[in-house]
Amino acid sequence: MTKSNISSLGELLLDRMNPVLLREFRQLSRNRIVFSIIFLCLAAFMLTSGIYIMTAMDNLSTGSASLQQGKNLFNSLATMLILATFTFVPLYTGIRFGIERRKGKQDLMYTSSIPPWHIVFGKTMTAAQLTLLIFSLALPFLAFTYLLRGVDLANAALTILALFIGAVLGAQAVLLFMAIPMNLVVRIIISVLLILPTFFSYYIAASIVLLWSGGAMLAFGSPFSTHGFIPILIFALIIVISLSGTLFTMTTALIAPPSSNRAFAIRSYNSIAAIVIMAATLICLHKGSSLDAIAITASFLLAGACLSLIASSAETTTRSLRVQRTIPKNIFKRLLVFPLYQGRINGIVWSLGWMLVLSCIITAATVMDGEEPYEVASVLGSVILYTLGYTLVSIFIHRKLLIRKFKAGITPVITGVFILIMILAPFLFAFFSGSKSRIDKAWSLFSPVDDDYMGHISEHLTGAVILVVIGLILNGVPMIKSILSFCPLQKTAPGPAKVAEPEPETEPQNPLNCDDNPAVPKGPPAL
Amino acid sequence: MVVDVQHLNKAFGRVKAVDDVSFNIHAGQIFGFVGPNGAGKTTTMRILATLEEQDSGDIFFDSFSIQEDPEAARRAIGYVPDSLPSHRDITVFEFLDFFGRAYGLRGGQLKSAISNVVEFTGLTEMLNKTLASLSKGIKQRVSVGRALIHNPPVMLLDEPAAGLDPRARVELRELLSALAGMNKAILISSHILTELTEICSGVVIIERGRILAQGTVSEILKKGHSNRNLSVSGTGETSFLKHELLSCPGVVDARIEGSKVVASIEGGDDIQAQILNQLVSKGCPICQFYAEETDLEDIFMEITKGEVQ
Repeated sequence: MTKSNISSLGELLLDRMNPVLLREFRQLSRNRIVFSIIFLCLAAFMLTSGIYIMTAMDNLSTGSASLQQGKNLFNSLATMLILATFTFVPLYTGIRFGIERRKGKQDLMYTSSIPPWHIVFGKTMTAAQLTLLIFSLALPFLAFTYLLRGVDLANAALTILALFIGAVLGAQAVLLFMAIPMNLVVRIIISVLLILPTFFSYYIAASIVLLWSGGAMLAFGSPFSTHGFIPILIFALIIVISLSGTLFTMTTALIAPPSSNRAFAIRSYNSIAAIVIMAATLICLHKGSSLDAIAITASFLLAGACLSLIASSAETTTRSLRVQRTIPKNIFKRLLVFPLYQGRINGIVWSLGWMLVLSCIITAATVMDGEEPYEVASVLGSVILYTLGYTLVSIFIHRKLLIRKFKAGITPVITGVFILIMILAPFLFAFFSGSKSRIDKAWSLFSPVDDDYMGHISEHLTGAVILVVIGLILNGVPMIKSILSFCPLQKTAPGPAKVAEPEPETEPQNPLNCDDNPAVPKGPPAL
Repeated sequence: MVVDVQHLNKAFGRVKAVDDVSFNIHAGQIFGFVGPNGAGKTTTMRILATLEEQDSGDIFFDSFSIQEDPEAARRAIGYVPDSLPSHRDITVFEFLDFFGRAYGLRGGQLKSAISNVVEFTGLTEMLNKTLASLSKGIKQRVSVGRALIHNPPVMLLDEPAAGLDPRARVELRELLSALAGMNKAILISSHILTELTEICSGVVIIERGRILAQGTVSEILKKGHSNRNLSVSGTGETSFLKHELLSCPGVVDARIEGSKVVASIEGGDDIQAQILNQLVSKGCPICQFYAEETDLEDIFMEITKGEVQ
């Protein structure tokens, strides 16, 4: 292969590459912090390995050689990898993204015609590449641990894979936080305080379990352990892909123009992901695992739907002309796509729909396992109704009291505070009145936390229904208006005013012209 | 291409940053966007650049609307913000290359676009330097080059001359004139009004989010300044000259400024001739008599109140 061939191949590859990723690569190669971290990691890996080798040699000479030396070194190196990748990679990619998104100083790539998903994809790939770079530094040392004995290759590979996926997911989560329109410092603090320790602790636990349990199958629990490893891996990958996709679509939606239907990609993707996860669980069930697996999976998804319902209250109800044009004219089609459009009510309908489906699945699974259908349905029903009730009341609080000071995005925070107050209320009553009776009657204050929830299930159900009814009464009119406003555009938008354009005397010469420039619109696109 | 801004409104909380702003710019025109700090210039520019979304109103580029098709609007616009690029870890070439790719240029098209822009902005020697190492003037040229990389028909420049030395300003002015010569519609906001007078074909004066005046520079000069200033000096007493001037027809006000008297008059050249006649007939020893030139700065000072929101 000649030099020119290699060069043209290189250019072809660059042309195929995501521009954001290419820019990040170029910046990465000059970044002093990245270089410092890489050298620091390399030094730490070398030092740790050196200490272990010296100890191993010492033990060998004294005749007390341990078969666990490799495992110990592997664990130490994995911990260092976690420290480096779970803190540095998400913070590096996240903070850069946050700075670029800073209000008033947005990076100019947001004024270019690059689609928002390309930006998020580029950033995610940068995180993956940086993680890979740090992992590649550790790989020779990790391979060396095999020679010291005590390391099972399959487990080691699985641990490395899990760590890699975790680091990239962590970076995706930080990217999502950095896309939220609020103060950059607050975003960084929240990212550091909430996301990183969660992933950090989870993966330390996971790596310890994987390494010390003697096998990956045991780590995943009994339902799967006897039926082969492949289904577990596929199931885990489906979960990871779903989570990664959710984070990706949410980040993309947050940086997309407000005039677009930001909710469509998130809700479509999550609907498909939920179906795939449930299908995978059913396949596992067919292979002989317990009915509990279905109930657990559906419960996790239900928790996600509850969060989605609360988050829906942050959506704005005004739809741009651009979005209105895409609303179908056919009433049945319109009803079908209603939950996939941006808007508070649309989001609530979508979340409620999923909640109902998942509740039915959980109830069916538990009933088949011998549980009482009424009890399960009541608990699930009260949870759903409480979530809906709190959200509706919070929407009212925002709409009537805080709308002048805060945008709709504050509503989930109000819901969170509201739930917290409702949880604390019985305890506060008990504290100030000196009686414990209030704690026993937590249900009377719409509190979702009760030491005898099942014992008071009918009271909780009644309370949750009352809360929902109050919410519906308080928000009835705007809700109906919002539903009625979901119709296709009736009139065409006013066109531009006719302006007499001065005819240029001669055709001006444009030295910037390049033939067939796709970036420049050739003519007015059809509206 | 015609940029038609129609009834644009934008509020941040209770503050109305842009209040029913409407104007239009034609291809080949340079339009000056003038106003005190906090007048709403940058917000309007950011809405045009799709960085902010308007509360109501719309902007049309020929026939498509920014609200309907923001992606097409982005392809039609080259935006030069008030802040200069200053990345430490990216060279001029990489910066231009990235934005070329971001606008969908690839292969030969990208190469040709970069070389055209580099030649046009005179950045050939700077291609391998990092942005942080460049002077303000060069950074501004890089910024203009970046905005031109996809050859947009509309250019938006927010305070492009701010912080530049006189030479860099002259170079920027030449660059803008050359761009107008390429039939691009240019909207430029600036505080340096004397420069705008020289290069702009039209002006929009904005304060507290509202348009106070708009039109061609000559129209604004005519409309904005109903009174013209007459500078008169003689060999006699200035107080006597002032007294005599005030008795002349069309003189609204007169004040002593050093050795001369400046009279504010209503009317044109015929009134000016009458005043001169009357002063001479009354025996005033006149040695200088001329109408002061009114510039955009005078108009700006006269019609704006310097109020910010």
